[in-house]
Amino acid sequence: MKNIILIAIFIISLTCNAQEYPLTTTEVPSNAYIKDLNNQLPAFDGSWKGTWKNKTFLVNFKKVKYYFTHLQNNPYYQDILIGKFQVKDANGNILFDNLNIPDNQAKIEGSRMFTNGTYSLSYLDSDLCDKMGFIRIAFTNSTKTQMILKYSEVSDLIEPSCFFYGKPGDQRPEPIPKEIILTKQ
Amino acid sequence: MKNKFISKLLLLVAFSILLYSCMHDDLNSSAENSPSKKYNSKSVWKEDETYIKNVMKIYQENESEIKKVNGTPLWGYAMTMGHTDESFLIVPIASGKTIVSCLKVPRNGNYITFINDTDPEHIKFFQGYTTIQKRKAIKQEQMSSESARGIVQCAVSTVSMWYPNSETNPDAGGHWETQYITTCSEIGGGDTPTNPNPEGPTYPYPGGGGGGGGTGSNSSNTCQKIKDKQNNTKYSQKYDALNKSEIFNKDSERGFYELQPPVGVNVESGFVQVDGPPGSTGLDLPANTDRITGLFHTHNNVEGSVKIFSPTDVRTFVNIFVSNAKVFLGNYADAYSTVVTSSGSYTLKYSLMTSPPGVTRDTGKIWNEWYKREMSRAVSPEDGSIDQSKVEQIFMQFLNDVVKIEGLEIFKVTSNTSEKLTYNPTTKVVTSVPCP
Repeated sequence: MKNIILIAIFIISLTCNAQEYPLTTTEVPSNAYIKDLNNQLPAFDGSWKGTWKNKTFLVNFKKVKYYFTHLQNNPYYQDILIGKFQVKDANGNILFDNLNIPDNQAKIEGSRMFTNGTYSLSYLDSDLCDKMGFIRIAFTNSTKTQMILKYSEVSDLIEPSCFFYGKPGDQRPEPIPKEIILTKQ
Repeated sequence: MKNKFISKLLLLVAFSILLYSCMHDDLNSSAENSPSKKYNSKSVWKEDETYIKNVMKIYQENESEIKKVNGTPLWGYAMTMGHTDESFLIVPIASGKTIVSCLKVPRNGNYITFINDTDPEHIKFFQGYTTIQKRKAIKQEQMSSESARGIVQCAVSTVSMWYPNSETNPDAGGHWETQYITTCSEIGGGDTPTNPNPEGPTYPYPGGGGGGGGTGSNSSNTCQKIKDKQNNTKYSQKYDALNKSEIFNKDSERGFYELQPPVGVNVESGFVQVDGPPGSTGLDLPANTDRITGLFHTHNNVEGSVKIFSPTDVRTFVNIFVSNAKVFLGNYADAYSTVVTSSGSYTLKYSLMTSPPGVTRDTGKIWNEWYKREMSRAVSPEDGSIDQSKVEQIFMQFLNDVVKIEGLEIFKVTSNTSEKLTYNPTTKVVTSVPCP
């Protein structure tokens, strides 16, 4: 009797587990676990730094397991990278800094891995009038100590309540470089 | 022995549950009694409770954005100053027992705005009104006068309050004092009401404050309405002016918005050009959107460009253009928003004869989260582009699963054709039906 109960618990625990899929999965089945099966994300983990336009860009990537519930009737787990960053000008003044915000409020959030090793992330910043964009990162050397980061911004209407409404282009926030080489710290 | 132990354990569990539930009852009840959560009128007047309750709800949903001073609105003491058409209220803000400020909330068409009011006369009035035990309504008056910029309308409420002769000796008797509160708003020269708070955000007001209108759909007319526009010379010129490779390859976006004349002024609408700052990806809306019923704008050929509407495009269309179309053209279905891109152009329309639900900023944030997650999954690793059929599919899923506004329709358009896009949520396939 005891054995039957143990076997039943074992079977139930197996069936209850989410089905695992690789990070390159495009269509996400319900209750899936998009898992870092090939252990690709830890190489991105940590602090990365680079310079552009006389500014210093420091970004910390961290691997987390995230439970996504935004799709209708289709929650799923996924191993993703989250990113927090800091930008300083040439004099060391901090222009943007979200290094210390909680993980669940990170402004950069991983999306998917491509078969060529490029990883895509999204960016949404409620402190900058919901500025939104997409980020792609990929290693540029075999030792994985350097990466290229590319950022593209989503077009949007700027409302009068936004703090940079009506300002010229060079006075609008540019938190993330369009393209930058980052070195692991 | 064992049974005794189990009984004690069960007793302990039962007691813990009881303690837990009692604690939570207490927390719940204290939350309900909070002055900022529930409306119990403490006014000496018959107030416009519908307006107060609707404003309270909007305030609670957007408190972090609205709140400018430390304090809690005492909704029970909110006064609508004799207005019964869901158009105005003033509410005191208290920190402890001290009134620190007031909030004035006027409605302008389908929108309300929250104005921080530090008028010392208002603060003084509410300091007495919220603390004095005996109060009597005297009278409420509406009056108007001409000013240099138009007509000033004022509402005056007069209340009598009983003050004790001695703070320390309640038996020393007291006396009645008459106190007034006056609130005014300015109406510009015969036009629609001007926005009293042009710097601050506005919030859609549910149902447009009894703006009225019939019910039912006129969906079958939407194709015809697009066709009528395309046959309009001014409209088609603006579309053609944007639908060019040199415009798509600029380092800033361009658009035209259609501005209606003030109500009662019998002239044609006009189109106004707007350009984003060089090197930017955004386009600034005009500061005053009161009479805008339509917008064309480009999403250019820059890396990662999403060549369809953004969530803010949709929110702006629903909250501003659709309600303006009802006010200035008599029909919600006359509003439009068109995004012109090198991968195709799209027009948003609203087909119902009833007002769409307003989209709050909090809802907008949920839209943004969904949109960026799903669009970013479709980005190409090589150049950051997104296949246009995928863009259409994700956007249609966005409208169907997230926006969920009945009557909101999207058409793929050229200068003289249009086809309605539909989405099957089961197969996730987008199909298009050409307009006749």
